[in-house]
Amino acid sequence: MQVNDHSRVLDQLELPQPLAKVLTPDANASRQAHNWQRITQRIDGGAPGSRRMDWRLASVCLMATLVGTTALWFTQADPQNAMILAPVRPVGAAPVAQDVDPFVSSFEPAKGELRLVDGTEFKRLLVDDPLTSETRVTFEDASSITATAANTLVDALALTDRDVILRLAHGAIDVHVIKGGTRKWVIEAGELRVEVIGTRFSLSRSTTRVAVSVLEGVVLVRSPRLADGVERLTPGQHRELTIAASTSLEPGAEQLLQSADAARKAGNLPLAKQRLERLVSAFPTDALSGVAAFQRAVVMQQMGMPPGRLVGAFEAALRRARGHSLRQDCYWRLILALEASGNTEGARIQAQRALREYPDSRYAKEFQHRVRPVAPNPTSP
Amino acid sequence: MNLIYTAVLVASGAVVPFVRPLPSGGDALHDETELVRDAIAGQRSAQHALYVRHYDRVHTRIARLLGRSSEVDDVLQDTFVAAFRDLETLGDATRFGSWVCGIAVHQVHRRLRRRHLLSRLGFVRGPDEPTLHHAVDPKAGPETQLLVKQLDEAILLLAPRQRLAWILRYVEGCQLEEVAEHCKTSLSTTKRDLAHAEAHLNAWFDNGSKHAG
Repeated sequence: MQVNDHSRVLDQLELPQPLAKVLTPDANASRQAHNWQRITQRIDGGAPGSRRMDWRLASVCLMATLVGTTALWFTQADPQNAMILAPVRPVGAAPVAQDVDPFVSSFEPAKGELRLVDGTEFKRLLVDDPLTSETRVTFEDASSITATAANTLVDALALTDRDVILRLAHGAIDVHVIKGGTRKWVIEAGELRVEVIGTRFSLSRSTTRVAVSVLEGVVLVRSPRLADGVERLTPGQHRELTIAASTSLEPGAEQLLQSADAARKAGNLPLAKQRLERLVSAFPTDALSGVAAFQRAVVMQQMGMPPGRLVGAFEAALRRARGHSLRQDCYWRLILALEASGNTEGARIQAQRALREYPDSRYAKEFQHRVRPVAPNPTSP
Repeated sequence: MNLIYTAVLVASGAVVPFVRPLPSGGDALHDETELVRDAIAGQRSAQHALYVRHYDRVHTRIARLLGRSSEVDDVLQDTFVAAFRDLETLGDATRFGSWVCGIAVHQVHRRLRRRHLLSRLGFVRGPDEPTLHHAVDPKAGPETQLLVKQLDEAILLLAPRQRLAWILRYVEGCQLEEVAEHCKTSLSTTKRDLAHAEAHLNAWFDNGSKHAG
């Protein structure tokens, strides 16, 4: 079996640079010492391996579940005494118990105030320009905060053995709270407060909106503007609150694309279409406007719009699309829409143009099939 | 006084202090052979030196293959613990780096298979984390970031062994024999896995869904 030296998939993506040059090394120097400590503990027999810990914790979890279920059945336990995060509590109320992930491989009890990995006290993260400033702070338990936008400010309000309370004054951050810890993290962001234990999420705040997206774990979001004042978000979920303001900063193209994507994944196609249209009109020269125009046309197709309208949408996308790969997709979808609307001549013309522009396209065979004139039947009169 | 006089001579450039030359490639290999020998003998400093020397490479490889970064440290620890435990089985000490990377790939494969089983039992929460997108240089353009993100979505749909083989071959740049060795399969099986992975990825992109997400 012949295997190529290069991936045809990567070749066809036509990345501006080879993939290896686009990726940065991933090693986290701040974790190197921590990992070595764990390794030596295991070599010396002082700490259990991650694999054995999984089964042990799984057994404990199973026993706890059986006991808890039995107790609940007999006593009709008060939900407030349940060992889970209560979903409905007044804003500002103290947290209940902590949710421990039974499949976590390490469990480190908190000792004293949480400090940075170098032992210093964390007071503030201020990032003016992520390209020139240090954007990440890592804590001694390996949790981290990374600024993902310019003009980001995070203040420490309280760092104790039980709580980490921070304030996102403005900007955007990715937060990674290591599982297994016993500290509860609270990030205040004006209209909205986020409470987590072991999770990864993104939080952004501007003068017009606050938004949180969960990547991993469970997040509690509190705000008087939410139903019951609190909402529980799981991975893939997103909560956004807009803030009325007389002058507002427009969200960037990237934010609009992300929010459109979130709307589409939530099944709200009209909202996704609206956001994509806003991106295209507000940022006509942005590199993302072509992608947005294409996605808009695809969303219209998913909404079941007639082929005639789809033709116009894919034509508009083709006018804006810059990347080679995107343009080939636009041509292909436009040809299909033209054929669906009964315009085979139009489809043939677009196929000709596509072949002229991309003779080695991954759709070349399909384009050629439409360009090749149909040979007359020799037996017909 | 002699010390001051010497310092003055050094500062004036009249005397060049002796500096140990950097080891050449040959010296580094010899050094590594010695480190492996000392590590087998249980010397902690030798084990630490090997760990520090290969940490970046192993960590990056695990992160590229595994995705979910909360498990990367666990797998890295498992890898080095296994490496130091089985170090006597390493025939050629100069191949320590490649050998420990192979252990890392094996550990990742075990994790992926276990994750697959736990997800079927409903114990694993949340989707797999992208493997490549988080490593994209922030200075890369938005289109590049989007393309790599979409590549991640496609890669996550591959079977564990195909995913490992494809990333090792076309992202990490490993030779076919090395991929087969790391995946603990025959060369023909590796070729088949790569061909299937390419076919699946091609089909995923051909559906035009990469730009629509």
